[in-house]
Amino acid sequence: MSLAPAIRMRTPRVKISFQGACVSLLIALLVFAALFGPMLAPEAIYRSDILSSLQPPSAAHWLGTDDQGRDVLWRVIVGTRTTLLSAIAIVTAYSLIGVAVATIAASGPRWLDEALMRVTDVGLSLPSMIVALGFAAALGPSLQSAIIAQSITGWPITARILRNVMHQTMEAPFVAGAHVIGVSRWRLMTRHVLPNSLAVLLVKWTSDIGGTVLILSSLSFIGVGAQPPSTEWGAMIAGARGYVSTAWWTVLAPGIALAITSVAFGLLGDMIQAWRDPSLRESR
Amino acid sequence: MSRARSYLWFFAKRLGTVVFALWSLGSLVFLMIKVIPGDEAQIAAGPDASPDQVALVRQRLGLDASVIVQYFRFWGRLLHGDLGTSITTFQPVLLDLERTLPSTLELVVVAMLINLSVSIPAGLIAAARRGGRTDGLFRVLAVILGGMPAFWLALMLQYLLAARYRLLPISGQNSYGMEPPRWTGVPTLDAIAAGNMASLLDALTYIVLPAAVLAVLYSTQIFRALRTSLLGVLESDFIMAVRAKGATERRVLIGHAFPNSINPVLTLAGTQLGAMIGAAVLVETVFARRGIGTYMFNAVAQKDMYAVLGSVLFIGAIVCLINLVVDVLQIVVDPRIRAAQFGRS
Amino acid sequence: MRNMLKSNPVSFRAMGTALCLLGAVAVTHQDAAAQVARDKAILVASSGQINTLDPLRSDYNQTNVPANALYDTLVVFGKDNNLVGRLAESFKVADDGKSIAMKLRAGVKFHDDTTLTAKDVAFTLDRLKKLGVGAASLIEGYESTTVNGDLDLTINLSAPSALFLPALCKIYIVNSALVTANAGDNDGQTWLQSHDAGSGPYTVKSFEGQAVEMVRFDDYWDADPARPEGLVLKRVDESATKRDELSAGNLDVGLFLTNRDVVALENDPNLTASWFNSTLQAEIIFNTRVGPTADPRVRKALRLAYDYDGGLAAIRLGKGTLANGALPHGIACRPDLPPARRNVEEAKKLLAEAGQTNLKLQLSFQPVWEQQKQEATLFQANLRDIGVEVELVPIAFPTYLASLSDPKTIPQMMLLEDFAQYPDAGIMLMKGYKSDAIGSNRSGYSNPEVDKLLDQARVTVDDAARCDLYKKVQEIIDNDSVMLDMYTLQRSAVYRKAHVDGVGPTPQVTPIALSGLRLLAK
Repeated sequence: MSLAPAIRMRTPRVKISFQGACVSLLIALLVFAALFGPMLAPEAIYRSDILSSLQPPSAAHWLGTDDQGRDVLWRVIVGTRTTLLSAIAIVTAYSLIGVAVATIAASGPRWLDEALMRVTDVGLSLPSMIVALGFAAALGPSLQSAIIAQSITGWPITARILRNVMHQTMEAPFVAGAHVIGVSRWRLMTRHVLPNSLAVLLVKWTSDIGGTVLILSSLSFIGVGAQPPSTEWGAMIAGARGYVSTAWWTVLAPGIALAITSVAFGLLGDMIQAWRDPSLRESR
Repeated sequence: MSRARSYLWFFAKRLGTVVFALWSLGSLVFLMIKVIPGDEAQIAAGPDASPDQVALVRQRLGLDASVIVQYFRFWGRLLHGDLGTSITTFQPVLLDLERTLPSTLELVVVAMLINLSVSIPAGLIAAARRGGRTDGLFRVLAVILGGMPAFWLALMLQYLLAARYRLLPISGQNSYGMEPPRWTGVPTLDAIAAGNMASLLDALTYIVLPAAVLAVLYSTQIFRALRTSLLGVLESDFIMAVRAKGATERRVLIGHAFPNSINPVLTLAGTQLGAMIGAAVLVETVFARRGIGTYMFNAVAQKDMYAVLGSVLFIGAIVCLINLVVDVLQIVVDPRIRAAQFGRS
Repeated sequence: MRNMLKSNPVSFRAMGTALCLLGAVAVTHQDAAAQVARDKAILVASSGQINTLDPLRSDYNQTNVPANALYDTLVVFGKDNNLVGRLAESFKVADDGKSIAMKLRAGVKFHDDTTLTAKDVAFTLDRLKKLGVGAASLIEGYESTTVNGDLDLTINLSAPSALFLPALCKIYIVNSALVTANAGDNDGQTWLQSHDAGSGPYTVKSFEGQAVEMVRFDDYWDADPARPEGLVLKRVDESATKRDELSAGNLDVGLFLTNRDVVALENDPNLTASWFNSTLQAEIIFNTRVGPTADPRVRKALRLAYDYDGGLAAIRLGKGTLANGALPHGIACRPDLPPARRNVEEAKKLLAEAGQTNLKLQLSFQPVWEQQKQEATLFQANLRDIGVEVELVPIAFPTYLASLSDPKTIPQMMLLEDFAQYPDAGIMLMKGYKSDAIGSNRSGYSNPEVDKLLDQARVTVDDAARCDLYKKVQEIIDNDSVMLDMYTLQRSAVYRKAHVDGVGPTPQVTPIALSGLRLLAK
């Protein structure tokens, strides 16, 4: 879908819409901030300057200062690495687990498939954030605990989706045909089933990053994830919670960063899916 | 297989899934308890306990026995309703949770009402004006609102609408003096039961903002699902036939397309009900409502581990049961899902 | 829509039945006792969990504040910090210091209309001794009470103690008959958690976890019709919420707001923001027995690292005085020590002398208190300047208390605000620095010389001589750098000036004494 006329690029294969350009730019900015933010940030944001705490936005501090006198904008930028990397770690971890489980389920005997699917059923019927909360609290509140906890609760849905895709692929005529001619199961898995699944995985991986960032920051807000003075955005909001009326910029900035990140990655996932499967694109 | 038997079989299987899920949940919580650093008996007895009391607790929990025995004793206690004792309220955790559950349920129900009453009309309008400016606007809004963290939205709206512009109350469930006598623990229901209209209105003003904030994320999901579903149905043959018969666009949409696209939406709404209870944790604490979320939040802050894990168990079990009820209701209500479920064997 | 109606008439019938049932209940359900009208009640918001209303725990501020409204004590500290009789009309310490003769005031009624007699005093003290927790730690040395008549009693001590009589300002007298009737299996602790057995100006109407609702007791012996008919003590931890609710008129008195929020409310025409001198002292307690902080040179270096002026000005907005010694300003018998100061060079030198380079330490703090969180982070940054890396460890107060039983589990550094139970130097020093005061001696400090001086002070009847001993002890512990004392803080209370009067502390109840609140006539 385009909000404006499509911009035609030199290679006609890929049409980039206005929305697509915006999203790509945002993602690029986020990745840049995550990679180079801490390097570029001034030393001052790691030190307290209590005498200039809770200053409103000004020329010196574009988004004001927080309760320790640190520049809010730079802390948000530096926090991109903490937040984004943690989310990527979580999603990658549970995606790997999910792939493994799905492969075993799809290529193994029927009873194993049934058993594993019952297990994923459990994962789908339990509230994942609450279970993650329990684990993070039990392990001792910290960013690491939250990462471990979310990795533990995230894999069932991925496993389920991938296993379904694998089954679908395996039941496709060409695969059945190949099987009849005598192509080994292993070759079928590696040459046909897996690549197809990986495409789905990529879409899910991308979209999930946005949702994971939100859950991670929620856990920090509750107090079982990253603790202040971590630059994780949820921890920043938790620490600034008492200043909403007196210093709104301390709460607004990390929240907007969270919103932008989750929206951008969600849209990126949509875009990858649309690119991969044009039939899913909105036709006008 | 006769129809009745296949229904029973389905129900039994579904129940089996729930039992398995509850068993897994309990086992996970047992694992969580084991993972907590420190002396388990001390944590259970509370920091004020004397060494004798800690020894008593150690005995009661059977911590001297092997892990297997501990596991079975854990389940024994669980099935007797013993979720441990809170070290801050000194009450059994289950008692605390039962007291706070009604408030959370009220929040979730009102949130769901707000959700459906906003997102369904929005979805209808967007599908009707598909491709136009309204559709585009709604979709952009859905994307943006769907990406906002609920707790942050709660803080900002609380500041703007309640503290700054005094349009709504800031926190709590009732104004002073407006609290109805406690019967169910749900402020609105208790107000109705007491026949006190003023109290009912008061309770409603207190719940509107938290419920709206909770509903935001889920309404974007319903909006998208409904719109997609409607667009799919609107392109089907039978709609073409209805149009050919000369029905107005409005009648086509509301009379024919809508009822046939509502199913995935209701399915989604059913799963959202359970998810909302989990998300209520974030919203309740910002608005200081006396629900499970606030209880859990305070328990985390006080390192009251049994209260935290008891809440996890309790909420998990409730979500599981709600999902079961929703699934069963769907089968009962919708013949097509019935056919889909029982058509294949 | 019609399709749905046709296919499931069941659901609509069910809904209809439910509505009818609700309607029927609405008609038959009776209203419970009405609440006191808003303009006749005072709503107070405080911070922290109110664990129990049992005056056994009056050493916890969260219990002490409501206990002050529900109960009475034998004595209180008057304006000049001298002891004045409350329930005790007169009292006399025997010459050998081992007993106190008391005559009680006549005609004092409990909330259940029975009369307070010497039996109730004996029961209260015996109960404390038996349970041995909470306020019992304040009356060490109590042996027994001899009841000589309805209003006559003699308290017997096992050894003379100058600390005993002042401690009675925190011992709230309970109704022995009522507590005995509801003793259960833990001497009434469960029942007293949410009920009151007192004789104070208010009685408990309900206690639901986060709010205590009280109504005025009109037969109080020191009754004042200006007291509100209803008093509610609510727990609201977030300062910002209290600030907003005060501005909106939903709260009458706000306690434990952050200084920033109080200063912001100073311009509100409907509110008064009051500042009171108090014995509240912000401090960092070192583990003096185990780890790198066991070395006094390290402790001294850490003391020289904190930005006292900056912290006081920016975090506390100047509402306090720099500390000069272990005891807060406002307590008698303090030596004249220099105020706390920062000197980074000296600190680094001391660390080098102690052979500690690349030191890594842990600082525990309670994250629920916003200003303490800021101070912890400031200290962390300050220590970076002298080459020490600090990990911040959030901890809940009950967990912290549990860790004090063993020097190995005492946190390396703990940030706290501490205050005197009542304005007596002796109780603070004995509880905080004697080596056998396990649990209240939070640094694990063990110095035989200090122990000797304090033991001597306990039995010294002459006030001036005792004072000198206290001063000597304070000089020693300052030299030993047992703690990092930051500043003595002012406490605040914000209240609606047209509605409430009498807002302020007493020497034994901070930040305000609920018994002193008065409703302003319209």
